[in-house]
Amino acid sequence: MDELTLVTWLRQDLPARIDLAGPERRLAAEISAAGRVGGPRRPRQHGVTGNSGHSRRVVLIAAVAAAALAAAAALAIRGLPAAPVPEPGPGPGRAAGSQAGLVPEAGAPRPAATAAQLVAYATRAAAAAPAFDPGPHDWIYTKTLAATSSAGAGGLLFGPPDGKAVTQSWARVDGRELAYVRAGKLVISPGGGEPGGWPDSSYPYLDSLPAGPAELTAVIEANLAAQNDVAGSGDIGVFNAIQALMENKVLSLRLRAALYGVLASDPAVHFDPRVTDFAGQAGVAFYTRQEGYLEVEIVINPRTYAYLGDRFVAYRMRNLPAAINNGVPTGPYLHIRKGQVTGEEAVLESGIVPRAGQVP
Amino acid sequence: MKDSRPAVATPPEITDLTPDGVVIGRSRQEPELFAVLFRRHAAGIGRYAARRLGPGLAEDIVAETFLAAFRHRDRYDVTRQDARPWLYGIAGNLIRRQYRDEARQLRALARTGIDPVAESFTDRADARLAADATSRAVAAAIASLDPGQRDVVLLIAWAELTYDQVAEALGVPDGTVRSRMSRARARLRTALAGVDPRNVADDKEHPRG
Repeated sequence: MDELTLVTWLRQDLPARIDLAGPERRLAAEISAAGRVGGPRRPRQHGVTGNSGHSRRVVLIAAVAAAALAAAAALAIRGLPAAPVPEPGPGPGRAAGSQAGLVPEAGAPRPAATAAQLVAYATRAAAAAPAFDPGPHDWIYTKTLAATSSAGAGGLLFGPPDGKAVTQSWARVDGRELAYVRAGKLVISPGGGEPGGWPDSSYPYLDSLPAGPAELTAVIEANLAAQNDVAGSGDIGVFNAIQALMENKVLSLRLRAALYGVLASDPAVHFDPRVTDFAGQAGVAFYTRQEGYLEVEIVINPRTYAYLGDRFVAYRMRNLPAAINNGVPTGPYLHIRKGQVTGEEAVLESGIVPRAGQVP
Repeated sequence: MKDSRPAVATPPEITDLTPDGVVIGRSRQEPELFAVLFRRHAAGIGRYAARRLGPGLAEDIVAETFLAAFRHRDRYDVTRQDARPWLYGIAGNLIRRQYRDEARQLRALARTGIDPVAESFTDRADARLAADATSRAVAAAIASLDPGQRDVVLLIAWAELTYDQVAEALGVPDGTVRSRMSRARARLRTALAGVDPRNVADDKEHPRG
């Protein structure tokens, strides 16, 4: 008997009873609506495979000022105060990275306080940053501080974040190997897959991505569509793809600036000018609301534009099925309080090193 | 007076043997035909989603899958006769957005022997069934897979798609599916080493015999 057979058996005996009446009614209503509008018609075009272009972002924005304007417009659309077009950010030469352009020096005259400023300052700094060109056999080092809970974890923290864990990991630039420290020893294992939503996360591919938010959004949405994901206005797919990429790869400042431009122009994404990451560092955050109760944040250093980590915070109370408390079921639900942190991680250090086990 | 309009060929009737691709192609002009696709595949997708997340979320996933498929039916390559990879791909992306919930429920089963997914099929608190040791070990092993590996394993083991169909569903090359499967099986093999299959109830059989 092999392992796949054992997997096949799990939950095989669940009742086959799934109520399909509701889904069928919803589809019937959609079909009916489609049929009423002028009789037979073409379905909506989303601009991924057709020639119609993207309905949400029809203007190609490449210049810094235009990107900032787009961000300000997007913020205004979702009811937040529109950010002013930023004044010039850090001057050329002030953002030279200490680690091959990974992290520019903290030289901005003032921290970015709006999404538009963040995009503009990061874009300006990226233009002056040295090339980010790690070799295929180099290693990307990341040291993170993550929240843990004495109540356990599995997908999320089952209780208040009352503990901390520091993790050091290395990923070879060509993706072939990963390394981490276990029980004081360096363990090297085969490389994993691509971050969710990305067909390729090699640096040549990432370097080929366009810088304009409209163009880059179109690429990300096309990638999602190619994987049968459903991206569109108000959708969180683009945000989640960006979060997955930033969480798993150390990115050039050029690409980070472009990704911030995408987030700033996405109607599903909000901006918080004042957050504190898990390591106590002040930051700004792009965030979305997901699963009906959870705010997912990407935290960014407003002075260096570096990725600082992510946070998952309940914005409303939620009772999740199945209760776990120190491994013992105490009831049918896991009660999540409003404001409860269900996951939090901060990047303490990152950089390129020649060998696994080394630190910058 | 003689009708001068050219005769319009009547399209062939949709039957059980009509390929999905033809149905989807026709539904672009005749939207109501999309209901045929629902009747063919909703139950299978519902069961797959229910095994992963429980019946409540499964109903939402079935609804959202078919709504998305209907809205994007112009993207479908109608030369592909079987729409299951496409539909499971959409459903899988919706399921993946709940991966934290899924991992939590699998770990709950592994730790306590009580399966939140199985429990959610009943309203009776006294209807809890303690899972056997094998199920607990398998749940822990599946929970340990990364989302991409978990998708591949469960699309093959639970949705019974082929490697080619999984590649189509996930929008990745065949080689990626095979390498993910290989790594996942290695991890499962390690995690399940020593599991005694005699703990599995006697009446369970491999669905493919």
